[in-house]
Amino acid sequence: MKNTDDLRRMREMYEAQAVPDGLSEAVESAIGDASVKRTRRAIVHLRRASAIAAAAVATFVLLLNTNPAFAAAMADTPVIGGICRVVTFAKYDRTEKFDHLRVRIPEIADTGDDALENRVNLEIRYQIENELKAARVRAEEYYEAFIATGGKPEEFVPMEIFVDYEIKTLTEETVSFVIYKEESLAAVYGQVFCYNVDLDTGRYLTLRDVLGDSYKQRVLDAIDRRIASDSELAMYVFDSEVDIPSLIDEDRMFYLKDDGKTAVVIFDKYEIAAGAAGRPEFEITIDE
Amino acid sequence: MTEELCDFIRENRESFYRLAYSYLKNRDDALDAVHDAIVTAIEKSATLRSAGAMRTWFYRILVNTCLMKLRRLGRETLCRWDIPDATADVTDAETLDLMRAVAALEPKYRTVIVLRFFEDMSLREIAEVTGARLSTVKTRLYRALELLQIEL
Repeated sequence: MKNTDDLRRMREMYEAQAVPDGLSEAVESAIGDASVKRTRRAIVHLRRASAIAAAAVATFVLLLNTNPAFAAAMADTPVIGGICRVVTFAKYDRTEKFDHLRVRIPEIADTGDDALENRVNLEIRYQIENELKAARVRAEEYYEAFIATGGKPEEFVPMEIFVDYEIKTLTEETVSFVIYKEESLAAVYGQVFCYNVDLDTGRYLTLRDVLGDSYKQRVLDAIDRRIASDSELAMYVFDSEVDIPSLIDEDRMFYLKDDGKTAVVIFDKYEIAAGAAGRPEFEITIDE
Repeated sequence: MTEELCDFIRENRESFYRLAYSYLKNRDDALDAVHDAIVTAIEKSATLRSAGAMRTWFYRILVNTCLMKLRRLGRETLCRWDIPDATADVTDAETLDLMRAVAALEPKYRTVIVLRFFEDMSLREIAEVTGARLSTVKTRLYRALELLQIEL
């Protein structure tokens, strides 16, 4: 058995380790770099230090919430109408072994309805957390495949995982925003989430709510109009292979723009058209 | 605060380097880690509550930087610990073996040993540095001592 004497000798040995000549230089250059960066930095990147320490980052989205420093990330808060706000709940830019995460997660605030906020915000976090988890598993699998096929670890480029949001409409009655998730591995993993909340009732709006009972026909008409006028899109649309009417139900993704005067229906990439068409969007004026 | 922080960094740079080396066991990686930790610390100096908290706060950043680097390098299992240029009178084979045993510990155990016995931190400070609870730090310390077959 060893004892405190051994510890003391270990400590002596530890302290006797020579430090390299380059240390002072490294320290001074770091101090210099930091000062330059501080003045140059326009965007606040926040990384939660202890989340990095905890190697298991599976639940990191929720962990992020506990850091008061995130108050600083609330800096970009578009205020419109002074009623509801959509703010950045968490924002980080972080490179790990398999992936590079650039994430901005929104939340709604100041609606005056705590239950509504909690419900919507938790759902957003849950959804993004699941997406990120799946994406990170793919990144790791991709890394393993890369190595298994003779790739060198130092040549591996971490997979980009990107989450961001856009506010589309914010009025006293309605908030509409879209969350985008993209992965550099393949565009097919791109994902969109639309949130349209009626701030009076606290309900999510459906296409039927905004376009009336004839919503299906109105969306189909809009698609037809676009195809007739946009020859490029017409070329890519799978109009004979896909039963487009069956894809338009009440829960079809859409957002509201022009202060809620226009509904924009979105289809995922490859859903109704070739990938080259991107993520097709069709606008329908609400008050016809 | 930044001025004070820079003074603190300059004064303790050798400790930082040794701590980084205990994780990364490579001169260049350790220098890199010290550099990155300093940049992060100065950038985030606004989040530092008081000068009194500076030491544990900085070590926390440094430890996290090292762990992140270790993961990125995928070198967690490497267990050599060469003691470069250590003066001969403190380099006896038995102690060197023990140092290597420390180096071979899982990072969470190694951190506790290094901070407690080489950096003279209290268990409470170690808890702050590692973001773990005090009871967890205690458990890790006892477990690490057990693994190293050290009796206090």
